[in-house]
Amino acid sequence: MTKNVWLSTEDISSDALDAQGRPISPPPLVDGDLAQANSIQVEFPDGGKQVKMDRRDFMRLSGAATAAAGLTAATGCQVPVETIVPYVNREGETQPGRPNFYATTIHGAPARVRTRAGKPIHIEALLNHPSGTCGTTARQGAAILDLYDPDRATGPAQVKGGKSTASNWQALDKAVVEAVRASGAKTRLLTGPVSGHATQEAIYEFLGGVAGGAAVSSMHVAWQPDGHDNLRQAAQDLYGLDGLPDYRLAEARTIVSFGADFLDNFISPERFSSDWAKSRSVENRGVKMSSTVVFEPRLTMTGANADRRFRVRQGHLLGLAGALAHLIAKQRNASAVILDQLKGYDVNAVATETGVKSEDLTELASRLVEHAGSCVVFGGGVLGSVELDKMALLINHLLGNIGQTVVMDGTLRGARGFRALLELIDELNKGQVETLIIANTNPVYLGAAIGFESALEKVKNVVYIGDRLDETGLKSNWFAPLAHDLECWGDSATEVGMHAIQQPSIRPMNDSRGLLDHLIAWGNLKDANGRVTWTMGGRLHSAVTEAGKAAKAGEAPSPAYYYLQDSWNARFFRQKTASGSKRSFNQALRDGFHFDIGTNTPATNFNAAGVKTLPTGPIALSNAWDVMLASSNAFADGEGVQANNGWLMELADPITHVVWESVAQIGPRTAREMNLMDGDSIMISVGDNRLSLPIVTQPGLADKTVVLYAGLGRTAVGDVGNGVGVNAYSLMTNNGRRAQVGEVVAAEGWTQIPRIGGDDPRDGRGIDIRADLLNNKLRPLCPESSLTDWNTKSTAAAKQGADHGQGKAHGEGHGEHGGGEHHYNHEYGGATYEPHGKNKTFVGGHSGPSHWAGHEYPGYRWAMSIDTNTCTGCNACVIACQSENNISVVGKKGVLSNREMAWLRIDRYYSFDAQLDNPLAEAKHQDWDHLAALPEGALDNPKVHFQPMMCQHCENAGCETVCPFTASMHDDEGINQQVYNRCVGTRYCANNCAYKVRRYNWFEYSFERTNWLTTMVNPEGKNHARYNNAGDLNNRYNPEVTVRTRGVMEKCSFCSQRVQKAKIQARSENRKVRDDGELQTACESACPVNCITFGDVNNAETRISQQVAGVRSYRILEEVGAKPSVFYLTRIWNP
Amino acid sequence: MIRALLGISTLLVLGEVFFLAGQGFSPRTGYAPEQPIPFSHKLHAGEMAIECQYCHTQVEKGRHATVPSTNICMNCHNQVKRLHTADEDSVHLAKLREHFENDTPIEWVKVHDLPDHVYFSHQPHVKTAKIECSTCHGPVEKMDKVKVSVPFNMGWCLSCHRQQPGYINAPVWNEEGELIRHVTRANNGTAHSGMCSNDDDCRRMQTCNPDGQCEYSDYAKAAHLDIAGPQNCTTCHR
Repeated sequence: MTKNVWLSTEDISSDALDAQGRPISPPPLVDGDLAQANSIQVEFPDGGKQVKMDRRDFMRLSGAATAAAGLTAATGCQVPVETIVPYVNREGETQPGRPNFYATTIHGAPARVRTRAGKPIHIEALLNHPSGTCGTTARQGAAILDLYDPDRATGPAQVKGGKSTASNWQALDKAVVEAVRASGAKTRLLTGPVSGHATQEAIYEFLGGVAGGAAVSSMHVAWQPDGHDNLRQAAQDLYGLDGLPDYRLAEARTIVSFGADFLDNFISPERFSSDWAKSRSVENRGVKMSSTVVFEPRLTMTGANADRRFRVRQGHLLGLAGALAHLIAKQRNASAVILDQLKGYDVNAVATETGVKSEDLTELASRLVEHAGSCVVFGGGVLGSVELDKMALLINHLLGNIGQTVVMDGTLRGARGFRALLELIDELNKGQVETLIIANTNPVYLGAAIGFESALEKVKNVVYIGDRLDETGLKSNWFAPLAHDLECWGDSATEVGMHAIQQPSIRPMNDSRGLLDHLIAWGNLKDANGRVTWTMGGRLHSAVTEAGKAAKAGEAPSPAYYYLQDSWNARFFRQKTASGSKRSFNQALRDGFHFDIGTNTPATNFNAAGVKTLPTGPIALSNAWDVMLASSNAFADGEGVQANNGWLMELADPITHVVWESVAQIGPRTAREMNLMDGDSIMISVGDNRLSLPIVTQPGLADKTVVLYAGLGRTAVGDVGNGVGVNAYSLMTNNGRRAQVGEVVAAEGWTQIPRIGGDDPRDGRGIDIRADLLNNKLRPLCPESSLTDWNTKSTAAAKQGADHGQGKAHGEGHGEHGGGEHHYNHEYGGATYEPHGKNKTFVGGHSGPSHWAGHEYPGYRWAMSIDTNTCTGCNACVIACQSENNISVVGKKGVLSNREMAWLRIDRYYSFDAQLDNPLAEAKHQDWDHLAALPEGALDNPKVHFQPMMCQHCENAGCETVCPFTASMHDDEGINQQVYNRCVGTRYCANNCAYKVRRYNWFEYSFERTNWLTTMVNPEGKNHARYNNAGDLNNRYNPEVTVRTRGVMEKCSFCSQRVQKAKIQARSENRKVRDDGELQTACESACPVNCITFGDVNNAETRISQQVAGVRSYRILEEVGAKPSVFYLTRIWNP
Repeated sequence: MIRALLGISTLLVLGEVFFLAGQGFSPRTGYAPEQPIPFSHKLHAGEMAIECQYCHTQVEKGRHATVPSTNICMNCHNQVKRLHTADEDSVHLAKLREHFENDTPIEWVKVHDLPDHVYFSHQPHVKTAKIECSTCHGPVEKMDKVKVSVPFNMGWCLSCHRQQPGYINAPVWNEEGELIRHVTRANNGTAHSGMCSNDDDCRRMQTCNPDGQCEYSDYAKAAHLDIAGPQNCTTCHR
């Protein structure tokens, strides 16, 4: 029997005439034996004749023979009849097969929506936004799925006793107008954050009409659960400012935070992240790269990214801030009032009490003084206190940061927090409110523990404007459906001076209206004939008139559009602005924003008397537990608004990696003292409120501190989110603080925690310490270095490059920092790139023998680089990838079986200051005995490393070798291709992948094929259908990417659909693809810190080539010799 | 037993080999479905000689050539045959007008239907490479009812893409518009087809220094590369 060779590169044998005597096929890529191997020779055992056919024919035949036994092949291959339905009247804007882009805002922040055939399919960054914020957040990206959520309300309804009956707009409008007219000034409007000029104006016009001269501002309560009560109060006390200070991080050299999680959930995390990344750009700023110092009790994303993190109790934060303020006040010759107020904060006493070394505090103080005017001090953030924020502002004042890095012009307003809701509840209880209109916030759920629901019973009329009949909707009298951000007009002020228009990209899919449209409708009551019978006049009226006129001429936008235009024209475009701009509304609409700083003069007058209210010394710690009701933008969301969103439910929180479940995080030391393991239940009690839930042990947490993420435990959000987790807000008390004190005891029960990327597969118990421990000395997965070390090495490299014409230093850098080991390129050798080399390929550090001849990349050569120095782990890229590439949701059971599908994940590692000799060997088993072998306190405050991980597109890819069907192929541009139609699901490739980035479709996630048999065999099937396929969910699929079926392997494709699009466009214009953002992968486009770069490394001029050739670049698992096309840039610590 | 099984499978395989013999088997060849309105390309594109792109407007701009929206039909049929409602032809035109006036789209049956896992784009073929429409769609101007006249499968796609730059594997039709064979020929009328068809063309694409060392222009190189490029799997399968 001759040898059967199963290699690829089959040749099409063509019988076509060669009329002009030219070779039909190009010369074979390989010669000799391999060329022969292109065809399959089958010799039969009885010595029968050899049949020679190419691989594709063989596959086609065997497929047909199997499928069509007994049938003719023609029937077996019958092509389904498809129809083409063209427009009757195609408008010029709509071009079948081509996307349209619209600038808009999602959740009040700028974004760009991509639509296909009128359907929004992807939310990405708004390019050229002047703030330089160039990304989206995970929550924004996932908003596409919310748009098509089948659980949204379909029309207006009347609600009685928790039961709704369908109603119509006319009845609803009439009831609302009658209610507010009767109630007059006893009407209240409770909304989420409102920042847009037109929206605010409409609210005030409406309430003004209702109240008839009463004080309108007290009738509108704008709040959010993670509001800014504390900071507003502090700014009011110290500067008389009505609003929030704004922080400018881009030029800062030292950034200190006392708990404020400014990279994840504080004021404007996207912009702060972007600016923070700019301040960390070691290439641009060199030794001026910023240093981030964080004091905090829970491990936040900011803490995880900090150069120096101090693990302290929540109650110690004020003392530490005070001690720092005291040290600085002395050095900066502060006034006697301030010095006197701070004299109780003795650095040594505080150091003894908190465990933070006094040298560290002194050193930090002198560094801040050195960087006075170019540093920023954050207070306690959402979980802080007024005193803490005041102390932080005082430090900023002492350092002269006000007006420099901390701007006090009051343009940034920020919604209030729980205290606003508590004040409203008080009003309701006193019977001061007759009609309450609630818009776009869910106070019954959020205020579950502080008596909002019972207070609501004292209100005569409750009108709820929301996107579904949720907890609050069911307690209302009238339910008015709210359109999605993508369906209605609106506006917002995203940051200082930046105004943005929320432009709809689709008409409301359900019978719903936007907030502006609701207010306009209620300001102009119409009868059954559409005639306005009662009006408040003003702009509310003219919007209706304008819309009516336009409607007579044809299809017209909703009245909100005319309101918005009118309001914006009057505010921004009719009056001459400071810059004398002559922009028009339509220009602003096209760009998505308008910049107008307004006429606010910054408040700089420091009110020293405000300091007097500060405590005169550190407050002693009580014996109780700290219960932190945290929320994260990178995971679900703190308000539970998007709790019905499968993408967010299955998005790993960057810190705990937990999905589909509420957990209480407890520090390992505390857990060990209580003899608790992951999944064991605890009972948390705060006052009279109790909550029982499972724990995860989370390194980095302070002692006696328990952290809960809010936003789960919804009961009326929809089929996906109902009953997932518990409501952390049920621990809220009447002090309105998100950092509570309470008690924690062990409780009965154990839950298996669904977490992405690694529990012990045996039983899911125990901390996943093996997978997460990082020892760069033993195995340098995340090379790191210190700033001083980098400085030396990069100078040397530049010199060496000049000497030898090669831009790379093979460093053995061993800088000492905190006992850690730092490497530029680990001992296996770093990646070296020779842009002008013979084969235009990378020369890996692995210099051993290779099976591989290498590849030729004659044209483009795509590669990616990821800067781990600025990656915050925010998850925006993960959701962008999910949206772009039609990735399925697998549900809780799927995650428990490690079957998650995300092509891109963010690995998180812990390393220790006290480096272990061999933790991997010692921590063989995942139980406490072996954790006990770790040095005392090793897990207390580990360093955290984030590492986005996707297919590495290796040159010598393990997957390509083992695939028997050549479904995994290397192309001549460096992309490792996965051909779904060849894949039969052997899963050899996933087994042979060194990076574990291949995902297998265990089930039919994206197609609803549920009948009695499949339901019996796979009861999860109907859940999969609900997550991915129910109702209109299909409409969110990106038509440029295949929706994969069961039994197929998939993985990151480097967004090959985007690559193709850019190449086709470039080619049609006789040029190469530009390096100016013309071609961006989905993750790159979403990244708010610009840490991902994609491009062509065959061109030495591109950004990617320069990064790859830079001193900081390395590849993961270089020693394996797979030669990935994804490069990482070394983390630089600047402690 | 094993021998017998092998024998049977051999027979099956061999039988199918004969059935599928030829340049490539395609279940699509010859497919010519009835359309809701029997639009005749022979009349419009042949006798009236209307340019393909008058109706298929997006062919140079995006993936789909696009079937014309009804208003494009009405550009002419507002006037043409407008008054001859008794005319037999106009029964179908009446249907067209009905659709237009009632704002209901016409559901045409897709003739040239690639599988869903194939991402084909007209733009690079028609705009950039300037391939004639008939190379893939056959002599449509001779067809009353459009039919698939070439083997619309992957092997057939690659039979062009594996040619030397500037060459295609072009079908040859007889008088009746039936496919008789394929020939390899220069791609008429393409921007780069003439690039290397004779020595003068080659020289034109080069810049030479006084020492006589010549180099191809960037564009020539790019054009060359992109012919090889489209053989990657991800070009069509994502």
